[in-house]
Amino acid sequence: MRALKALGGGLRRVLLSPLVVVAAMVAMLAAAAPFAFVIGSELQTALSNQQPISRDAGEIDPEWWFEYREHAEGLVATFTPAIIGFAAPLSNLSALLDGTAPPLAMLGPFALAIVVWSFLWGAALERFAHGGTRSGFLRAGARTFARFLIISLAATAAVAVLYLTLHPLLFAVAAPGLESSASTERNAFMIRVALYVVFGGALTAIGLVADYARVIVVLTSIASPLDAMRSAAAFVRRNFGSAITLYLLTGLLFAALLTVYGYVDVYGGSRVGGWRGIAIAQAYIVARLVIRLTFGASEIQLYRALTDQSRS
Amino acid sequence: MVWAGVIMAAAAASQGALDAATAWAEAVRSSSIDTATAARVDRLLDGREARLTTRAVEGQPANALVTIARPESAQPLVDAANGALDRLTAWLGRLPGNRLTIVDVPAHANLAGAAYPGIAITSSRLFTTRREFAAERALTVAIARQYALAFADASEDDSWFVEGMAAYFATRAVHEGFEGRYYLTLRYFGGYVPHSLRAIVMSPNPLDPRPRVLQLAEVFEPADAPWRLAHGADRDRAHRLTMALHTLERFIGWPALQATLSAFVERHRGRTPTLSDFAAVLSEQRGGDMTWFFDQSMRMDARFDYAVVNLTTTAGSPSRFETTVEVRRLGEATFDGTGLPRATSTARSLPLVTRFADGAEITEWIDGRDRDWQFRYSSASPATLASVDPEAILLLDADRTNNTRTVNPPLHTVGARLAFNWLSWLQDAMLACTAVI
Repeated sequence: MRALKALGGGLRRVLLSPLVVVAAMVAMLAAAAPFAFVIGSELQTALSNQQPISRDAGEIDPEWWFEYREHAEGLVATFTPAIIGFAAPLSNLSALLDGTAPPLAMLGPFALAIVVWSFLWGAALERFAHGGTRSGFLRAGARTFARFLIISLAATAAVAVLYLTLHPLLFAVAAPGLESSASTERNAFMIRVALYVVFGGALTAIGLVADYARVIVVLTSIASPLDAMRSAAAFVRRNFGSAITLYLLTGLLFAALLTVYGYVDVYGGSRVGGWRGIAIAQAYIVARLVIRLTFGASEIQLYRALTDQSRS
Repeated sequence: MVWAGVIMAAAAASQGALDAATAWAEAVRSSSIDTATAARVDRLLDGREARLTTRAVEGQPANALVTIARPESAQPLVDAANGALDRLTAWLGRLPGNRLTIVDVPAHANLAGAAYPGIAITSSRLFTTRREFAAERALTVAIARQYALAFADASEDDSWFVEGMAAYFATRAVHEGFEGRYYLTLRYFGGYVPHSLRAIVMSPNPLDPRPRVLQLAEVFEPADAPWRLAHGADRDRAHRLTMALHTLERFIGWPALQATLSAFVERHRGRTPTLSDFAAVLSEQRGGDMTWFFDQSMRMDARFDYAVVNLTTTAGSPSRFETTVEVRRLGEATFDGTGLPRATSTARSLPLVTRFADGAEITEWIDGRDRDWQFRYSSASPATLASVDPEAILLLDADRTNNTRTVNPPLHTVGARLAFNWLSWLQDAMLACTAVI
């Protein structure tokens, strides 16, 4: 009940702070656009050098695409059909759970994302916790940036350890034998889902500690990121039920968003193709940002409710 | 073979459900399937029924089609099998053997697409989409392989030839069988969850002059599957042969190649043919020596690579433009276009097209055995494009991205759209990677 109330409060906070949402949208667009510009230029060159038989056609030529990919390197190697429409979130989510290693060239955008969110979280959480009165948006982001960056890097290290130890144990050692022993594909799939739950649970634990560490930095006088993470771990342990319920509720919002996007993409027909499809993809990104910010705002609400901390 | 003359009197009449285990045991007895795979399949037959269908083609012995599948999957598989058999029979003649057993096993057995003499294995998926046809495509591949398996008593050294033929038959059968309705379907979450991309038709209308997708996953994966007839270096040779056959199809046209294949399959049924035998039938059908084609195509130490290395167009005398096009053969393999020696003849191996801003177009022919070519034009408008092999005939070309050069190309809206798609994907990937950190 507390979690639900916190979620409601968090959502209200986000809806009352449209500038935070706009800032997050602009930040994500600004972070991704330079890379997209590089890819776009490469694509224009490649399409110009297509053999005329393919070049004059208006729609995507799969044979050209596969041929182009064979010679692609670096960031261009990520230019796969999985970038189109609903395939994008599916492939990213699947890669997260299946532990698909990203190409080395993706380390740049990923590092940039960590930096951007270390700043954004500071600005957003300050606004959700104290309104716009205590400090300006940029100053708030700058004030906690270094500490949030350390928290994110510590969480990244913990996640990397999980991918190097638990993930191979579950999906390279256990899964093949278990799945192949299943008598039906349904049973094999259920086994896989169970393993995802185990691995997802471990990821969630890290995520919760990192999230509440940021909340603690913003709401309390604890200045050290390491102390904040320690306090966050203690908080999550003490209030595991509420913390995980809030996480799952926000997860449900994300699942609902994915379902709507998937439905529109699959059943929309040609009406959701082309440029319209890109507009829908951007709308999905905005909705995803709203959900992420709602989660941050809800965690503040929940932390306050559970620690009986005053707003001041 | 004149397909119009073939009357399918067929037989969708099921002759009652058989016991799956008994039907499978019967299939194993009359096949050379290995014991381990046979036993593995046997353990996966729970809940499956066997159905017998008879296919009769006028003037030919009837084929028995035994389908071992879950009741709800059986009919789509029978329909897909009949479609594939109709097509392959029209191309290559009667199906080898009198009986074909189709068995539908769970996908995680990794046997979809496997073929043994008289046995075709497929997998109906737990989750699928209307545009995927995973089980039907795997079944088509396995049935197409039956024709190549008829040569499978070939010696070990020639196994790549059979495997290469099998992959060619299978790719072609899938494209024709699912033309216009097979869309690229990606699978996520361990391969269990499919998503079809409506933007990418894998098997377009045959009137589309562009090459079809040659690397179909259902044909080539898993690459190291035990049922394949070529492994290691032989697998590369098999793959090269498949590409050579696709190139040959674009070079001489499907009707000519189909006639050659039909004659070849009929002549070598149950024998141990080699590539030389095939080249001989091809030469006979074409009425001229075609050994040059395979001599070069199957050179594993050399690659084909023709490239436009330079295209310049500059304003010269008033209202005239001077254009220079340079083409180079970067690989050692040569697309000869003739069996005659270079010293005595010049061949029209590959076209070079140069386009100009006013819509004019000049086509030159190059002899693929030479190394460098240079062409100069004086024209009223500047050149916009030069392309060697513009129709993409030589699919063996290792790098077709260097076949064309352009000057001041227009903005491609498809490219802009794809770049924006990539932008959305990257934003989502950034959000995913920071989701728990």
